[in-house]
Amino acid sequence: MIIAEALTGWIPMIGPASWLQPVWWLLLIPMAWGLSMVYKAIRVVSFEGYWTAVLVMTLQIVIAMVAIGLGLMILIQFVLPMLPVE
Amino acid sequence: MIEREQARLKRLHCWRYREGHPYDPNLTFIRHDSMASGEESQASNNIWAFIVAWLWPGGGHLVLGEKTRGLLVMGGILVLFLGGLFIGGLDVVDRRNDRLWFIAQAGAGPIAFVADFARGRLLDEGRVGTMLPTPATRLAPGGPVRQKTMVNSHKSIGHINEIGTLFCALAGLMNIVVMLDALQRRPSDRRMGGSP
Repeated sequence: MIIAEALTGWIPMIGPASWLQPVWWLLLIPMAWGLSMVYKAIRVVSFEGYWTAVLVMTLQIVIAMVAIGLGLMILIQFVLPMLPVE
Repeated sequence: MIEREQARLKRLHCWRYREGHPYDPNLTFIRHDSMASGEESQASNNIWAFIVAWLWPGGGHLVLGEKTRGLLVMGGILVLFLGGLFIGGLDVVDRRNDRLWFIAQAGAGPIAFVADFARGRLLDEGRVGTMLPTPATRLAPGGPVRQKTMVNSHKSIGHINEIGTLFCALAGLMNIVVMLDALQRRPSDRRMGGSP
């Protein structure tokens, strides 16, 4: 913690991790992982395949978010510019 | 509910026939006191679990005897909440300036209030970092001028602040789901998850 503060001015858990700013979109993965962990913990019948279920749900969330992002990009970049101005 | 009660009475009448008792349609069977007290005890357990689940994420399921479920819930909620603090710093939990977000974050329990208290003590009072003046700004042409304020050098901004705030808010919202699960869970729901 002291080394991190001395090098970057960042105090973990107190100051923001500004070094994550360029890759903020990658944080979707741990977010989906945490959500899946909690949801599957109260949902599964048996804990035998728990981590597999968490992994599958994480992938489902991430793929769905990427698909929504791509859909919106196509709409904004390609479809909307094709509409007549007047 | 009525159908279930009628079915129960029918079963009891059948049992009396087998025992050779004469049929009596007016006969009523009163539930044994232990059954009613068992249900009351379960209900009070669930209410207690609901409260504990708010006080400490996963604690509600531990109270109900579901250790594995409780520990996994605890892990998930703490990953989200502490992950939010790690990404955006203490500034992501702000009761005064981000009230709506804080309502969601408060679902995670006292840890949200502790984080907000720590933010006030450490960042707002300048015990950590440096207090910097912000320039006076006019929000709209001809509108009121926002006076200079002092902000901490550890204040988070941009995507990092948004993602950190979202992590903590999701932790709170998921804990509300967990609390409701603890409130309605019955021993028969435990299935195979009761023991670690």
